[in-house]
Amino acid sequence: MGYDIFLVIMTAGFGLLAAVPMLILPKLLAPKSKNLAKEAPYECGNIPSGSGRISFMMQYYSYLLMFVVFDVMAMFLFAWGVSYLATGLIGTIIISIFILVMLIPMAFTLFHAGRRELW
Amino acid sequence: MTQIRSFSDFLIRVIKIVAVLAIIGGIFVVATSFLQIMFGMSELPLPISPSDLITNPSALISLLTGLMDTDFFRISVFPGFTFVALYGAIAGLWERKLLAKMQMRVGPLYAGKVEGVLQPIADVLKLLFKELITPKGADRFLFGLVPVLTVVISTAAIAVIPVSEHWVIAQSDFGVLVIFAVLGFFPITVLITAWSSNSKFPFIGGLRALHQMVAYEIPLILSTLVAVMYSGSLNLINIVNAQSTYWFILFAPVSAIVFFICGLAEMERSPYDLPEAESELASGWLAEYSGMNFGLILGIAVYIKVYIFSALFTIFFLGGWLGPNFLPPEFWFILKTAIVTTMILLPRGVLPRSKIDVLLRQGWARFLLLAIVNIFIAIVLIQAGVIVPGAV
Amino acid sequence: MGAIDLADIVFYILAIITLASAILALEAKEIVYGALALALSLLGVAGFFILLDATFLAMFQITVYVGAIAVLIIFTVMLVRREKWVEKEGVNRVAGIFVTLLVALGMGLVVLQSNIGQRVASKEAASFTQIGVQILSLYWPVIIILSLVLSAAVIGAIALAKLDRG
Repeated sequence: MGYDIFLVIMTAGFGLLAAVPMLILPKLLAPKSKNLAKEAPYECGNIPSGSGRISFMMQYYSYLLMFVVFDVMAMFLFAWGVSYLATGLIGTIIISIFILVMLIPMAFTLFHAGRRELW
Repeated sequence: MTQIRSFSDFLIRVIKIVAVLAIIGGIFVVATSFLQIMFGMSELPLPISPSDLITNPSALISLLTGLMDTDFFRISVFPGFTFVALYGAIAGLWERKLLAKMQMRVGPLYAGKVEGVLQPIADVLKLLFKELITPKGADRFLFGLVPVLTVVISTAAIAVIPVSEHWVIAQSDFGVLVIFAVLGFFPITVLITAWSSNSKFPFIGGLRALHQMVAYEIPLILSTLVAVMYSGSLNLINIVNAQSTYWFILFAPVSAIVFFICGLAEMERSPYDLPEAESELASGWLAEYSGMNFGLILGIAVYIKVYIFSALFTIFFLGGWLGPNFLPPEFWFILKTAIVTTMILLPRGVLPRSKIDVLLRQGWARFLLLAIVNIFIAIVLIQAGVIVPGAV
Repeated sequence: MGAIDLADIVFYILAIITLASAILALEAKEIVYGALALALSLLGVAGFFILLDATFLAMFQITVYVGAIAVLIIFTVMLVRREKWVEKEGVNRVAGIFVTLLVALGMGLVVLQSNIGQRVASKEAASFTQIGVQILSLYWPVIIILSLVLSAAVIGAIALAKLDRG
């Protein structure tokens, strides 16, 4: 049934079993010393100032939106690609319309991502 | 813990490591073999009595063959974790030697008698002794979770990659989709890293890494669509078998190039290693990770990803394990994967880094369009009868 | 009541994971934890798809939901400034969760009473090729409308998110 997925999860579990001892061992073996300078966030030698989570340039937000949409499109393209012979010309035309309609928001996104003053 | 002051101190520490590893390993082996037999996944020809072994040593061979057929052996040794970890270690050493030769240096030389062969082991031992520092104000749970999560996800993707027709952990009819589902976990990992280290450099670096990975994931998925179309199946073994006449790289060269470049971007290697920019962002999103945390993410998980992408490239475009019959198919697979790995490691010594806006724009505009163009080429080729999907 | 087999155990574990992380997504003190719990509950739903022999849907769910939408949600949530949070007063959380579970139980009982357990699905799971053929031949208007809806979503989101200075 889902035996192959079960094996994938088992492999991931094995990875977990291999990774955890590697984190436990340094806790046992390494010297520990608490030092205020060591635990402060790293800023190339400056004394850290300001909050650690600042706002980032938002102009690339549109790329993340595009990713969601294009991910869905990629999945449907796979559904078409596997059954290519069975769907023939009609399927190709429908998928082409799908792709072409998707190019419009892509152009829109690329145009707006370049204009930094809007964000 | 005191400092190491003499050789006997060092020896005692090494003995402690070995003892702990042996105990953990022993518990692990015993527990999993019991679980195996309980869940009926192994059909070992047990029991064998010692007198049987002496008079009939071939029974031992059948026991060993039976052991090698179990799923547990495949997950842990070949083509699973141990094989990939060894491949990663060798790839790490090979990368440093290669870069050194390109830059007219020598590379690692002193660990081991011959040209620094034991350098990876020396690195792991060194990292095991370093302290794990969690920065103040960081989210302790998520900060510690990320290295483990990265290794776990990288290992999960190995499960569907076949080394040859017989040696595969999970023969899935949806192999291609499983790989992309697993690869889709990496952006979340990077995002958690960026947020949980309460520090500016990892935050900026992490967001850059996120945008880069997200931009190059769609062209990656679409470039493999061509191989799926040519073979008519999502099963990786069927994709390789469909290349028995000609390799797919001859019929989809553009897709192969797009796959290779997007793979470089997903692995954050040159020229796309902006998130880890060593000179700009102080090692970017990994800045707050020290010791084995760092070793897990930057060492093991990166080379596991290198193996995954090299193996996928050979499976999709270079014909997997198909080769002349005088050598076993596993050998051909490993040879082709090694060649692809070398090609992945090379650009680090040659190419400069791409800027973030150039990188994102190229990923979204250029590579996406190239991948779609090759899909249309594939349509034309199939309609012209050059390739027949589904025929072996 | 027949013997409980492995599928039942997996089902219950998945149900507990999905429900618990969904509740955690709403109740967590730290908002990023809540977003991560949402991703976990989406993974649980993918697990249910695997149990139902729809591996393609499970991979679709993981790739799109956990790989894309959860990333978007966590990214957005991460950049919210802490000074702007408002905590509602006078809300009894435990009573709220209890009422929610009660309503869910009631709806579940209504569905179970409708003889839905008597229907037997066809013995074979649909292969991916058949799904592709069905989508493109019988359900083709869905694809066209889907492309238009997705385009509208992207254009609308960008138009709403950018500042009004253009």
